[in-house]
Amino acid sequence: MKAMKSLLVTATSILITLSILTTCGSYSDIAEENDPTTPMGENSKTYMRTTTDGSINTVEMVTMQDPVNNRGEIDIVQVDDDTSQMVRNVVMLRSAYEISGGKIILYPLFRYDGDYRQKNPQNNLGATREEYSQDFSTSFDYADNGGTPPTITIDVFTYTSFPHVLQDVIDLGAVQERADRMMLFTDLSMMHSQIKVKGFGGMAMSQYFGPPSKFKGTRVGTYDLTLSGLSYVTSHFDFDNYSDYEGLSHNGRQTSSTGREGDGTMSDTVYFTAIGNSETVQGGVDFSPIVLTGTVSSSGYYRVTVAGVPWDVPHLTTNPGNPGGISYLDILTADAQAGKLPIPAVQ
Amino acid sequence: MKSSVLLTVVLFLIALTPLAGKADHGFFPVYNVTHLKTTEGDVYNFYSPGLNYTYNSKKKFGFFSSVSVLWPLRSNQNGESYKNSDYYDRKFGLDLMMGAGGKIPTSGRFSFVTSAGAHLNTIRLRGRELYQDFYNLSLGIGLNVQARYAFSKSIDGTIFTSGSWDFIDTIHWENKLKNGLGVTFGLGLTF
Repeated sequence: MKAMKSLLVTATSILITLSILTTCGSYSDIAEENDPTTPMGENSKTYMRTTTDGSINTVEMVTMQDPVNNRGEIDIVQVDDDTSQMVRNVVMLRSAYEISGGKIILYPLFRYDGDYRQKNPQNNLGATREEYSQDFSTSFDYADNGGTPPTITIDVFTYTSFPHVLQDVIDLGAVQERADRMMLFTDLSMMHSQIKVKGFGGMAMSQYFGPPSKFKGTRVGTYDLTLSGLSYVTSHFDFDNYSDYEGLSHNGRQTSSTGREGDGTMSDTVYFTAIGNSETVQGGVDFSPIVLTGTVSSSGYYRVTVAGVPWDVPHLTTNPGNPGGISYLDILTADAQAGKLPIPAVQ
Repeated sequence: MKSSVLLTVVLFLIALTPLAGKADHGFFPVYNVTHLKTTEGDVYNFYSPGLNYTYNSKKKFGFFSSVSVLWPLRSNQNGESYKNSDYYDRKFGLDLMMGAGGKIPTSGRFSFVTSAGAHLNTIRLRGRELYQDFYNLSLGIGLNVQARYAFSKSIDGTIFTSGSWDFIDTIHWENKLKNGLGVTFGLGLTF
């Protein structure tokens, strides 16, 4: 009888423990790096384009390592806002490249996928990373068009040098316009950094509990991710000269504190240095007034300071397909179409 | 880390719960090899020294439990070998069996104890700053055989062997466990 009682106690305890620990995505490889990509260095260039197709607005950022013997690595990030589905999908493709005879040959290395939408992280896998086999390649027409602003063409799409886009944002006269757009570019960097975290936005992220895990900027710099707490989870992203895009780097901290269903608050400030082609501006985004519901912002505002001038940017600006109809990709695609920013518009 | 400490404490307390009853208690240094195969074809092997506590009811047929705390020092994935301390700053494993068993007396001082039951295996490697953690938490069935030599009325020298087959993956959503095999050897004393 006593043995049976022990068996019952044991079985119950194990089931409770298992339910607490049911949190992983897939088996990681032994000695698997947090971020296996190699930083491209200070000399890498970033180009940008936007498109719109019905309810879907897209921003693409392409960062290319300075080529040696026409070879290097390339990072292509595509952010799609589907305004009808209220979802933002972020895909990052890291490839080796070779430029030859008017073509760019891509040898894909890794693909990162993540999404931003209102969700319960307990029912989500979170951001994923896929490694490509070495023998796969694909090629596109390629041209370095030069000019002012400098552009490149990949396939049939034209991309503008990002520092020139930054310069035009710096030159915008209205405080609100500059603050909105610097918020959007900072958010682009944040999303880019976040989808490098396997499991981001899902329960698989729990593997980062404990001491800081280090991730690398696409160009230079690093950030440390630290998770703590059991039922109420606090995550810190500590940026150290972190840069995914030419002309834009970040320091400071972004913190979110949420329950297991993804409801909570944000805090702390991420600072930016934006280096346009002729001017540099510094500022920061204070996330403290933001409230999260289902992992995305549901109320509050971002306090954005550009060159010492503060402006409160409503949370809706960064929401995918928000009901107010001012998703930030709307702003950028509208800028492109109006010729306000030198971003290639609809192709 | 908190969860693994919690798990260890809970399971040790559970394993010690039957101490109130009449039982044999075995203590063994052990060596464990855990083999995992995933649905996408990845094959992992973990090599771990450890310490084991085993409980056997003194009844002819009764409750049995066994807890091994493991330190996975080396591993192997798809044929490539790794020294875990190069990539992980914390290495922890637990191999647990619970079920029922009985003593098979033989002539003289020798006896055998065989037991079978449910099996749980967990391995957790906490990655250094640049590396991912590794987790496993699987369930299955296991068999334990002990060969004992009675030094005295209350102390037996014991050779401990157990084998397990795991087929339930409790924590992975993709690239899940297809099957896991485990073997543990130990040499120690039973009181």
